[in-house]
Amino acid sequence: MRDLKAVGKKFMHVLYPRKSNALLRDWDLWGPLILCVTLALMLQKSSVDGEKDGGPQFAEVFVVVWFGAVTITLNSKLLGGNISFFQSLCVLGYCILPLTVAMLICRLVLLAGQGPINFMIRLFVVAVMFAWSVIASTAFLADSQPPNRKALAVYPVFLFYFVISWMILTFTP
Amino acid sequence: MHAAGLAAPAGTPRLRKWPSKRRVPVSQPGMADPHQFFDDTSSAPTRGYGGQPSPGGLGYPSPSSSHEAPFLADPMSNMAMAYGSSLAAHGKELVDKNIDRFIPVTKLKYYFAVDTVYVGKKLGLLVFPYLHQDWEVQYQQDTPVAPRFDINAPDLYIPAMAFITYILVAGLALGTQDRFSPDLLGLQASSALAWLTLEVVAILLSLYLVTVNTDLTTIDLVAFLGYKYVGMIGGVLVGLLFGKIGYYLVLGWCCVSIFVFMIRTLRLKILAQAAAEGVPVRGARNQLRMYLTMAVAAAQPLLMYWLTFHLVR
Repeated sequence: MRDLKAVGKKFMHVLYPRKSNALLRDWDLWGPLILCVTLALMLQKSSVDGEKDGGPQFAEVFVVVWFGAVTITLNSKLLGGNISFFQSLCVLGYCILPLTVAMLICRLVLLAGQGPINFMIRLFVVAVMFAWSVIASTAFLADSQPPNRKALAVYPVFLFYFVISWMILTFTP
Repeated sequence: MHAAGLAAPAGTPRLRKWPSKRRVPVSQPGMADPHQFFDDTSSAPTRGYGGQPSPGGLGYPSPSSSHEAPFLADPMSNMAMAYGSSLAAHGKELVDKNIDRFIPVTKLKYYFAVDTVYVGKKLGLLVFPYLHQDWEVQYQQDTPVAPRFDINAPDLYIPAMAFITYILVAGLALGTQDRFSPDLLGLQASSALAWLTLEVVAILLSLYLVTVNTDLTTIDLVAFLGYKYVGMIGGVLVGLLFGKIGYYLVLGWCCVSIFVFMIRTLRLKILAQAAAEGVPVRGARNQLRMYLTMAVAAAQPLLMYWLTFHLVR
């Protein structure tokens, strides 16, 4: 129960990114795991016809998310940041929350059928959530780098969330 | 010898994690961070929760207001905690000792000592190397200066990021042609990596055969060979936006630039000092070295084209 409350508190911190240390100080990996599993489940193509074109499988989403997070963390450490490995993983995982919300919204919007307006709405939603994710994670991660290297540490984060947004945007059930 | 930049001292026992988990087994060296990368720099040893400190599964029926008193009063958990933390410290030392054998971490840190200004200038240099005059790397008491201070020094940030961006852009390009599937990304990644490895091995072999006395390390070589991915990304992106004409134009420009860049950089490393200053030195060895430099530089545009032409239709 207490851990659930901690996870919920961190979700709130991601949604309203303020200058607080809560995500960094008491890291845990439950939140990222829940988010990753949710995202992977929703992104799975319902391939009842046996062909696997288009949608990623469950394992692929998992691999992309976790390897991407590990790569960004390694990059951040090598650039000389003073954030620990698991703290960075925690922050990156929790900041997938806006994109998971975007996935839910996209799923609902797709129930109304496909078409260019549909696509525009989804594009807008995913773009907004992508920006939110990047801003939230840079609010936590950029502090660990000296100012002349912030952009270098943020660029891979940008790429990471871009890949996830791309997977969400191109999802068709 | 660990890099001085990382904050937490070695072997810090992770006291603060134990009171918070409900039923944590006592000896968990895997939970502790076994590598200097994984140092836990988070502070705050106290937690705000009404602690339930039951590491051995002994139940404390009600959360107490201060989590410290019942925790330390139990000698079993005390001993268990000490044992666990000593195991963690031991494991960490072991990994730290061995990881340096496989991955030279401190050497790698040199290649990542970059900053935004350096990256910007270097990218400009990769695309337009024609006006740059001085290609020597500055030294400071026998060690080369960090890339942050000298634009000629090689770094690994740009090649690594360019490689990853190239794979993603390749996935994007394949996606717009409806040929995308996520395992293709993995295929692209491994094929590009295989070509890079092949290049590095071939060049190292030829350097060995020509018996060149050079201070070109393997990591330097990987860095130089990784710079071509920047041009490839540019070509593919423009190709996606403007079609084949744009792709050929930009790729052609980047090929020539990389050719000039490589020649000017490698000339200083491979050729003898006299030849590098432009004075032609006779002799078969210098000729061989010159041919080697030209071959390496000429291989770059070829590979750039080979790895991207199937992405742009």
